[in-house]
Amino acid sequence: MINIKNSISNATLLISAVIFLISLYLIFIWVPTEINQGIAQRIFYFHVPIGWLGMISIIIVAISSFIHLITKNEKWDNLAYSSAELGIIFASLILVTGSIWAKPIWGVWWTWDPKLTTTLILWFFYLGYLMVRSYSPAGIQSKQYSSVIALIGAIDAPIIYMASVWWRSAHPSPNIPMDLDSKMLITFLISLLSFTILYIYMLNKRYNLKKIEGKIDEIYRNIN
Amino acid sequence: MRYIETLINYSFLKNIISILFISLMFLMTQDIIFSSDGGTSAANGQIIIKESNSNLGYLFAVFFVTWIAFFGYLFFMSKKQENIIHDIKELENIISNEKS
Repeated sequence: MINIKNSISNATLLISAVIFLISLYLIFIWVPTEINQGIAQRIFYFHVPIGWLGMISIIIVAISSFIHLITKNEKWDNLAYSSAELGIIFASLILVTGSIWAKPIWGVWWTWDPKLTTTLILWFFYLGYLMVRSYSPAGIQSKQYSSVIALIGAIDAPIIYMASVWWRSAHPSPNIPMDLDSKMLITFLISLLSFTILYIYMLNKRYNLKKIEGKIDEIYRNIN
Repeated sequence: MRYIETLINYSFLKNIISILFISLMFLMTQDIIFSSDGGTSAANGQIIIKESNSNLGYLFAVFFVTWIAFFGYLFFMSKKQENIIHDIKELENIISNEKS
């Protein structure tokens, strides 16, 4: 059973690597350059998939935390924690890659645009979640507190998505334009697929490690 | 023991894939990152698309930061895995000592 799971995991990593290579070829060489933003627009092929996964992460954390609060089943807490850990990496990357895009296009690294500000708030929610888990005494209470943080943090995800629609924002619209060049659309979709597969791989790995860590802690507690 | 061996073999495979992946990415991107025109060259050496390369540095920075973050996280997970292997071995020792 372990061998089968490892084979699936390795296959996911291999598929992810192959699709990433294809997407890199598409991003750097194949896709046409956008007329207004120039080469900096290609940053979107990294930034947008990372942004989507950063938002999906908090939704996974919130749903898993909610189920954990009801059922008290450890596997849901393990999933929530693993997703939160990945979420903070993706949220950090959203902010960094967004800043790098903003510099040549807006002329500044950072501005208090609604979309950027709400994304920063999401980053703080992830940080809060992980800090509660790290610094609270181990036990059911820290899991409950962090679950509540995750549930509140999930409210931020749709706000981030709609921020550029609800408020006057310099950030591009969240919708894919209808007249988008087919090559740009293909590149974007393949990039999204490659990041998603890598996300699934890393989430699965982290979840399994977290599960084993929990079991080892339990054995140590029983021995002592 | 079989489980530990599987974990060790898995780490080795992951390292090999990572090195191959980085090498291939470098080979694929070095032409346009270090080229002077930032465009695509035709087979006969003529440049068919000329683009300003002033923002290529930003694109490469995004690419670099993204991969540093992902590989950093994978490294963090491999360290966690090593700790788990160490813990399992320690538990095995404790159990074998108790038996003897």
